[in-house]
Amino acid sequence: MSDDAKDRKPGWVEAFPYHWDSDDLVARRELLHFAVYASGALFAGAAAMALIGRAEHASKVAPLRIARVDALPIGQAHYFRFPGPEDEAMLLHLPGDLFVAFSQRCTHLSCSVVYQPERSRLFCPCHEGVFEPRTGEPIAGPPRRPLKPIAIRREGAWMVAVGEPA
Amino acid sequence: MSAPVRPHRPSTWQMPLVMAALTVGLVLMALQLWVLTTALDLLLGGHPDQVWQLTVVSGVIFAGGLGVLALLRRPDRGPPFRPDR
Repeated sequence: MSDDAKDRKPGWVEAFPYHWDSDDLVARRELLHFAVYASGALFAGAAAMALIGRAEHASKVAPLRIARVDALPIGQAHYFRFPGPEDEAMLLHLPGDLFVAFSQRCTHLSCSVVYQPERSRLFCPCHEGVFEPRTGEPIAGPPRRPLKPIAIRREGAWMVAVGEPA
Repeated sequence: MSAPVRPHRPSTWQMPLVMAALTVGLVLMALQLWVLTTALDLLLGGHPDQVWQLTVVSGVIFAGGLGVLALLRRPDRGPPFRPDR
């Protein structure tokens, strides 16, 4: 065998210059590095969501007079826009003289939820999602998250929307 | 012709430690992914104040991963092994 042929390295040595003893350790360490980087990305995602939530929570919205208390009998709903002109919301006057307000946007696919007093439920006609009117919790159908609540307070004869609950 | 340089072989305690770290790390990553989806669920559900707690949990897991990386810092192995020399 000539010296040239003896000195020529096999291609696989150039492509993968690790001894078999250290092969496993290298691959596992690289996977560990990747896992830690991915972990950092997941942490960054969670932190971003916390910051977005904080920013949304901190943004002040102007209080809005929704309806006169005496104009909304028990078992009736009043539909309004809050906090923006495109945000559909509803004020419910429930038995027990309880007032609650929620965003009308269904947490499944954002259809408009309506109040059905005869069945004591909030109903989304798109996919037959059902919510509990006192809490906004989903009780049937595809929605898994509660309706977004709206903080309200009574000011004299008026119910006023003041923002999201603390 | 000089004798080939033997590679640094992992000591007996390193391999189980790396395997254990990998296993625990992957389980924790799955937990972290669940935390992320739960945080998104809370954010979209109008409960952003609770997302901070999940962020702290996620951060602790990430810090643990960094700690494991520091613990398993590779020693200097010298030149790579060339089996054909």
